[in-house]
Amino acid sequence: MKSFLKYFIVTIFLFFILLVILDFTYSCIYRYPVHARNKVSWLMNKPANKVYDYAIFGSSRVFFHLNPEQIKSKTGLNGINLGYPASNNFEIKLMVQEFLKHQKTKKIFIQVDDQYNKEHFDPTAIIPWLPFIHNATIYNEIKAVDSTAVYKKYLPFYRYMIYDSKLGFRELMMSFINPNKFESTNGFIPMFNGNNERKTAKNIVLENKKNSHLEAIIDICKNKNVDVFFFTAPYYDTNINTNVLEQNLPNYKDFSNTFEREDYFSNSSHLNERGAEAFTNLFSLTYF
Amino acid sequence: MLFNSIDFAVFLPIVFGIYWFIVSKKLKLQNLFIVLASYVFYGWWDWRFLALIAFSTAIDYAVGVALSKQKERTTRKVLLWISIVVNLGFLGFFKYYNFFLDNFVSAFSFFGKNIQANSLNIILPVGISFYTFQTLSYTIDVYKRKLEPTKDFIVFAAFVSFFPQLVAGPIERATNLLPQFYVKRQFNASLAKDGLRQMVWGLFKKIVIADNCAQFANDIFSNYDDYSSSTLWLGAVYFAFQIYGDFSGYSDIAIGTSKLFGFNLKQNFATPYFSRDIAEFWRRWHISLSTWFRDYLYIPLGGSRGKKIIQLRNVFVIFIVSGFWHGANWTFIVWGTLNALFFLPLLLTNKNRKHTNVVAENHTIPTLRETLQMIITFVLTVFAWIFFRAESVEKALLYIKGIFEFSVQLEDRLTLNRYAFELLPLIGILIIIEWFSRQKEHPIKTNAYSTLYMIFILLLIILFGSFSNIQEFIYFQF
Repeated sequence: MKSFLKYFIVTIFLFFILLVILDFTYSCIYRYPVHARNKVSWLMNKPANKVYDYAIFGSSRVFFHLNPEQIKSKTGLNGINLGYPASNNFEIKLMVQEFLKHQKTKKIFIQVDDQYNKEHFDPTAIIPWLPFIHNATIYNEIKAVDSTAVYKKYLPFYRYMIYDSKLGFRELMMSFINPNKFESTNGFIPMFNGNNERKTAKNIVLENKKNSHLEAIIDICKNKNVDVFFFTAPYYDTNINTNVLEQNLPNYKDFSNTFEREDYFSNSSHLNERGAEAFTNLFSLTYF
Repeated sequence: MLFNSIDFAVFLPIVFGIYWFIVSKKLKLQNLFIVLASYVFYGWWDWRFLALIAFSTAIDYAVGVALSKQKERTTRKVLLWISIVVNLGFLGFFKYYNFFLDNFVSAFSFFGKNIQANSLNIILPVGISFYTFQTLSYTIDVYKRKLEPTKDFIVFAAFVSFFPQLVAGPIERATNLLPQFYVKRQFNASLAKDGLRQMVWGLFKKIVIADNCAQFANDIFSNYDDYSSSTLWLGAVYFAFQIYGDFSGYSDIAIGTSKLFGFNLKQNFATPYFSRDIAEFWRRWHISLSTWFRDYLYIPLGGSRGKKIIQLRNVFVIFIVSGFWHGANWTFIVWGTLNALFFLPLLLTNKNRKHTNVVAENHTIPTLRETLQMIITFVLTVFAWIFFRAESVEKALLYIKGIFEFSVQLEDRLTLNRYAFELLPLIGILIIIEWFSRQKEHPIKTNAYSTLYMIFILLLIILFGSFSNIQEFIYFQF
């Protein structure tokens, strides 16, 4: 039995060492990638104290909708699109917080929509933050919403294993060889025409109460002396009680029913390339 | 409880510790503890079905004892039939009731008589096909006086419910496993180490090969009408490796776990994709089931003795029943029939026992002839797997039709998604490792480098394992 237990313990020990080495290697590569494969990594690797005229945050309804290069060509303003697909308010707050820690801007725009009432994190949008979980601020934020954060931080390599499709070997290799597509457009990628989902009318009902993460964003911006604006990007044939957003958020603007043209939409929640161009134009005229 | 779950990772060390440190002094305690642990293991899935195992155990135990006391031939036959009817009755009800009902209804409506019959919402108890066959082998062997029945109920209960192989085999023969419960197990360090290594190898096949292949195979089989011929072929190949990795991986973990407790189970897979003909394939794939059917169905029917027509009938019976054992669906029957058809030329030319040794036994590289034989056998097997995997015969035929449209295009979804590039090299690694260890029970057998080898396999599991897409073992549904 002794010899077996010794063998077992040695194997477990070697296995553990392997996990620690891999955790360290993966974390280093994700923190300092040759090519940032997602916007969190891109943001965290930007040179500090860069000055932007504005920054836009939100989910895919920012990522695919607003083109900072187009705005620049019209107004000369230098902005950045930090929309990340599937983000809830929690991930948006993290993004704003880290952005303002390292960069400078005068105006921040936050897209709010049917996700407004959500207080919890999104299991997909949180993934790019996990290589940075040893950063105390980020860890404390994640710990507040995710009861498994402690395992993700302290069990070596655990976070890379459970999210193997997003943080696994393939993604790691891609960070050496495959540049992202959003860097050259300051964070924007157009969405091409998708299915016929846009033909289905939707009815979204929001609860009339404040969201703690958005309130935190307002406080952060106040402390940093940054103007914060909220808006809702266009939907196709969708009713949403945006009066709730108007009551609870400062500087709110509703674009939800701006476009009725079907050929502007890829699906009911996302504009296509043509729609994004029109919306960026409208956005630019409205705010700048 | 899944072998690849956190629950099992906690369960196993606890059971191991109690087994070797607390109850190891007495044989009775060892066996009783195995029964308890096995019932916890099974009850973790659904405790209500423990009653079914307990009932089946009690009936077969009683039949065994009664057979030992009974000399009269007719009474002995009646006792055997009681066991067969009870065991197959449970299996028939839980697994085949709705299938037969639906087919009767369809048959009647085909002849113009519409009858009303309601299907039942039946949950199939996990592992029922496996433990039913295991207990049946016991009563049949006792009836044939090949085995002395056990008088110890706990020993028999441990034999029926032994947790490593309870839910998906290997289907152990009483002649092999039961005697192991009669002697107190002494801890054997080298057997336990070997078990641990075999478990790691099984996990590699399950988590790295099967679960990664599953993602693509599932996608391709679900959306076969969107894909080109080349992708459909790839889907069938992925499924071939998925089911191999899944089931042989399970068997390796089961056998490895048994070794930790001092038991030796039979080898269930012996590198079947290196077979040179279908007959050899079936001697190497799911060996415990193939030999079960051989001994309790094929040979009693006459086997390969007698006229050719009788031999042909026997071959078709064994393959069709084997297909039907897998599930209540016509797809499995077609799969079995196809394998019988592939077997037919070998039987007619008396070549069905031509390849009983391992391929390229005395050399590293196979000859061109052997390579071609292996490729042809693999292609035939893959073709049959399409029926095994498809949801219906109609869908399988449409899938095959798609394959024979001969369009070549590797869709973006396959080439850009994760592990599309990595998966084929991983399958390549599996093939290479298995090729060089084709004469062993598993690749990480004891040698000077076995620890390093195990660390390498662990590294592959960590790096390439599909942890975000853990799949249940396919054979649980049978």
